[in-house]
Amino acid sequence: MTDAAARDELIAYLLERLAERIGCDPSGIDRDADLIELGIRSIDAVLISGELEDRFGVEIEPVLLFECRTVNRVADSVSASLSRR
Amino acid sequence: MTAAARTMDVNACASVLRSRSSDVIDLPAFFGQLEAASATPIPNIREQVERLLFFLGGERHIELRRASLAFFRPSILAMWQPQIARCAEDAVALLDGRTEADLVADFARIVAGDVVCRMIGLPAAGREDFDLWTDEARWLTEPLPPMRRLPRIETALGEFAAAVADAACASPPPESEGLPTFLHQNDDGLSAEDRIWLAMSLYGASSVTRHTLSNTIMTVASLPPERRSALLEPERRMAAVERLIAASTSFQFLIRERRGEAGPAARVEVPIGPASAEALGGACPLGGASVAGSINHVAFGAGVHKCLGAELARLIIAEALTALVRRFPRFAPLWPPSGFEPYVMVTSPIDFVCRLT
Repeated sequence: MTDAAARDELIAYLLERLAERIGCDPSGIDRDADLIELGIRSIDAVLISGELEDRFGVEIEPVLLFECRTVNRVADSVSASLSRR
Repeated sequence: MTAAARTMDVNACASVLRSRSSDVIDLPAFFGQLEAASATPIPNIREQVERLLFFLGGERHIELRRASLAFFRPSILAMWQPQIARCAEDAVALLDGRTEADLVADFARIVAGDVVCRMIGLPAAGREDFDLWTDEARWLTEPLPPMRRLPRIETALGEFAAAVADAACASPPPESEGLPTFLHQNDDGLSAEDRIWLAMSLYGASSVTRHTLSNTIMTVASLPPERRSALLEPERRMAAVERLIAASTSFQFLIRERRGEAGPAARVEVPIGPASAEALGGACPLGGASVAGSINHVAFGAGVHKCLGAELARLIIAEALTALVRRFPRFAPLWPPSGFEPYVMVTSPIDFVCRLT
């Protein structure tokens, strides 16, 4: 799988998990929107990072979601970790 | 959640910690929701966070805090002080004949662990296991614990609870020398279950003392030997220790949730460590102090969640530093620490190798 394809898969999964946690449709989430303004809470960050770890096999600290702040930036950071494996 | 608010002023920190409109993070609720949403059973974690006084609110907090405080009253600490001093002397004696030592592993960890084992009524022989379990469980109190750690924390807490329950059923260990122990007293109204999990919580909280002791050792090592004599003078010693704690506390910040009519709930980081160090105004921690408590700091927090073991922590740190400086007045680092503990809220060196002179 190419890096771009892996990133697309990552974003699709991230949007799906995020949508479930904050209660909306994945297609309605702006990938550059501030996750905090979208309503993400500490418990969401812990759960989503855990689900990403299980799915992609890479360690992700929950705080990453608050540091990166957007879906695109989280995907960039996790993609970088994946490509370093 | 909004961005963290920060203030470096010690009075402002105390004000936030005492405010009725700010409260501790509700860890029992957090882990209850996490268990439900992840479908991952975490019964031991739930039991423990129900007795973590630092993260508990309401009537239950008051009930458990009152019962625990009974054990930290001055009369009990006075009974224990000679043995605390002896623990410190014994730990220094283990360094005799050596030219260098890691004062974190070979001294701070031993003194703090031994004293707290004895006072709780745990066998000192189990200290290394208790420390391992406690280090794992401390991730519970970090702001955002990763899910991958929960199974390990769950296992550690289960093993720790079993060991503490065994100790509670047995007679107090001989090293407690007949002094009152937390696990074996029965006049405070605690249930057996509460006592076991509270004992674990207190042991875990005491690790902060160990980290702060490591930090104070680093601070003392950075000061000229002639200044260190303050730790050997009975009338100046406790004031000096207070200033060292303010300068070197391991707790960097506390988190509070601000609620009320002013707006949406906001998470506030209260930087008790930096603010306490700032309160010294750049003065030498071992210089000029003559009045106990003369330094206004919040290293132990403030308000209803103020560290209930603060007086014990002062005693342990005072006796440990006094014993160390008396035996090795010119101890000095051979090289800087190889790193610092990987926690967010509490920081201290992983090691601190010193020349012993």
